[in-house]
Amino acid sequence: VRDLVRVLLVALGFTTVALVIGLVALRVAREARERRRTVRMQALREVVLTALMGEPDEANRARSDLRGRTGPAWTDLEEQAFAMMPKIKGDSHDALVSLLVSKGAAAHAVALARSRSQVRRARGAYRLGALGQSEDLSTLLGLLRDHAFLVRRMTVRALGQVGNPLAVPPLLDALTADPRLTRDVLAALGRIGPVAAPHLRRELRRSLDEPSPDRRAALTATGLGVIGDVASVPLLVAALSDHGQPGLAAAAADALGSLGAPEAVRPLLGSVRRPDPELRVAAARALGAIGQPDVAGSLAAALCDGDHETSRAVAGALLRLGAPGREALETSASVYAAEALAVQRVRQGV
Amino acid sequence: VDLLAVVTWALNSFGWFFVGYSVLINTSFLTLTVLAVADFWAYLRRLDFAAYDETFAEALAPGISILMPAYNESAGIVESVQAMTALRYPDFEVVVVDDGSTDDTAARVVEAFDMVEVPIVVPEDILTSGRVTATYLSRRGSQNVLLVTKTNGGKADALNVGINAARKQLVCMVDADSLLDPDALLHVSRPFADDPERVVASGGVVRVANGSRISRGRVTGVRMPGRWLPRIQVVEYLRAFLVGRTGWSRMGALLIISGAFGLFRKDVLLELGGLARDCIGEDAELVVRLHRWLGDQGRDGRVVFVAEPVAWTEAPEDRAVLRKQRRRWHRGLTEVLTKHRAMLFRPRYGRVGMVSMPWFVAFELLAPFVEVFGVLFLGVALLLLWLDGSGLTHLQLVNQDVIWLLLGTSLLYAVVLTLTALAIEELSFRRYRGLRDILIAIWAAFEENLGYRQLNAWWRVGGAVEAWRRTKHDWGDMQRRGLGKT
Repeated sequence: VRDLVRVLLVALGFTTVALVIGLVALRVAREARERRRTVRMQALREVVLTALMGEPDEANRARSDLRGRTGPAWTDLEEQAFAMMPKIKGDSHDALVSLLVSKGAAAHAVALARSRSQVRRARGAYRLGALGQSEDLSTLLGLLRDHAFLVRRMTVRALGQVGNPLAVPPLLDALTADPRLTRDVLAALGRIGPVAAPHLRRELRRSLDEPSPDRRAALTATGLGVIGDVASVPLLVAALSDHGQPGLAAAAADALGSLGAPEAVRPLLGSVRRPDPELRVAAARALGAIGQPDVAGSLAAALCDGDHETSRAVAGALLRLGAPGREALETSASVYAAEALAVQRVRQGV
Repeated sequence: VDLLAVVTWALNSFGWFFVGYSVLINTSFLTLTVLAVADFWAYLRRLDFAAYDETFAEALAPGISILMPAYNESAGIVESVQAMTALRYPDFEVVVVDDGSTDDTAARVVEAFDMVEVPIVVPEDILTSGRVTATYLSRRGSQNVLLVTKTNGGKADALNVGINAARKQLVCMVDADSLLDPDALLHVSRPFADDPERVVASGGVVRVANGSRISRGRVTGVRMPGRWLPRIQVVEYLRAFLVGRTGWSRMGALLIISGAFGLFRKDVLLELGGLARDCIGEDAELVVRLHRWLGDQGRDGRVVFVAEPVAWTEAPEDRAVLRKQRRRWHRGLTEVLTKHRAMLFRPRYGRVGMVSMPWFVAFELLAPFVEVFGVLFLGVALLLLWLDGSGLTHLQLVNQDVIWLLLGTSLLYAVVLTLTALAIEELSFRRYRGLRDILIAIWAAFEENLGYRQLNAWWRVGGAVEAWRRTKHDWGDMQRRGLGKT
């Protein structure tokens, strides 16, 4: 036992001393390395900015300097460029992309996307998205089926950046397979923009004919609202009816509100009286967003609904309908009407 | 019967018991540390491409109501609320609930934010004992601040009123004296985006702000405090809150989220009936009850810890205040574990029931008792050894090897764990910089074991006894110097 105790104590003592020395050494070494790196990256950043925004002769010199970099200098440049890319727009962004592509950054990103490490694959997807080259679409679409959530998520974001509408159906498939990607897919659809609309309309039409138990249809409707597709209003109005698909009617109501579709006012008024609280709130909000004053009277009837969220949403919507809405609120006994009017007075500094 | 033999046997048995306990508690913590390392490593590797800003600062992000219960917080309330209003998040409101303060807490908020009384409807979804007396809104349109004043009912009651008043999907509970990092909401809401169907609550790490530079309610220069109590608490928080909770979260068995910084789904809080008013550790109790509810309903829900968002808090700088805090914490833990003892070893509650709750009973609830008895034992044993060594007695009742082993496994092993936590911090978030700070932290890792730990254990024993005797408790009013004046 004595020997064992001795060995144990010596081991613990040794570990303690090693940790103390290691901590001090780590602190000193890392801070020195960080200082050196800061200086190096700052200098590199200035060269990149000059290459993108400098006077023509300075920019040319800076570009040839950047093109001439190899090995660790190129790795630093790649890192710096990808870090700067989200903050740079327009011609400078395009120039940076073309510099990176000319040095094989896209091929490097594709190689990363094929790595065995999920962190590298995610990094590869991120870089392909930042470069925004449609030529790499197939690589990204393949990554949508990756087993790692992180990789799939980065890929969804990247597809949004690439902006190719061919990615819309696979994006919806990825969403159906994993609802955790909801916000990412919607953000990607928003980035792809109006060119995604025909695919989404086709998808929603099919969903109305063949209802499914998942939220795919609801998210398609939300997507149409996000990209502002006015042509989808009749479809969205049709989606307001009860199709037995979770969240679809509420999502359609929200989308109609975003689109400001006056032809949806009557069906939305009907939806405010339906039993689903999520739909009632969405419909009330949409009516407020559309802003047709003549619905104030009918909408005010829902003020004393008994459900806080709906009452508050209805009061908020009435405020947006101008004088008729205010009148309806002033004559209502609902506490939410008094609240809405008082909040508006505060906001207007009355 | 040979009495001396019996005493020798008893002393050695006690010695081996304490050795075994120390090894178990420290090794279990080492396991949590290893799990935490895996989590930090994954987090750091994806930082450069994760684009969190882009991911969360978007219109589709769920709205958050930040609840700030306040009772006699006049000294720091304005600065805290100002800091909250400056957070980066697309859709949030700050709900300050003044729980019948006897000082001018409410008046100071009203004045600082140019507020007027407005009849905001506060539904009674959760029953409360205090009565809402007034609601105020800021006239400055850009600041979404709501002040609710109510009659005194305790912190849990104030939070319940805040939940009723909250108008967003997610509810963030913070202490009125907490300072959040600007991106804290962006980070702590991340799990809700990653897994919206399952995540029901997430908690952020709490760090000690003493010694750091604070400007306009923000920690702008992180430094180790020079004073002994706060500097020890810095390393204690790193080990227990940063590393420990990350490990538990990685294991899927996170039992506690700090009341100083936690985010919850409002609909779930309403289903749970809000915070318990009969319990001093209402934040811990809420999370344990949440786990219980999930298990009873057979729902697949997750409570996660996010190590990056930071809430800064002022740690007590004098012994009397620290004593009060630790007694309160341990009393809370005792009440929670006693109240939910039916969850112990029940597979229905998953890893929480099978792993973390038994661990908390064995190594948190009972630890101070074992520590106090261990110290007494050590004192007696060392005295007997000294008597033998000085030739005054020749009893040889104590096995010297056991004593050395006990010192090694209880003190040295603990130092190793704390140093490991410091190393993890150094390799990951690196909030502290400079040689001075690391030397102070290393010294604190040793110093913690020489008096502080033992005192702490004694105070915690008092907390457990208070819980079992069910003595009256109050808001837990702590005297603070005020952040920014440190």
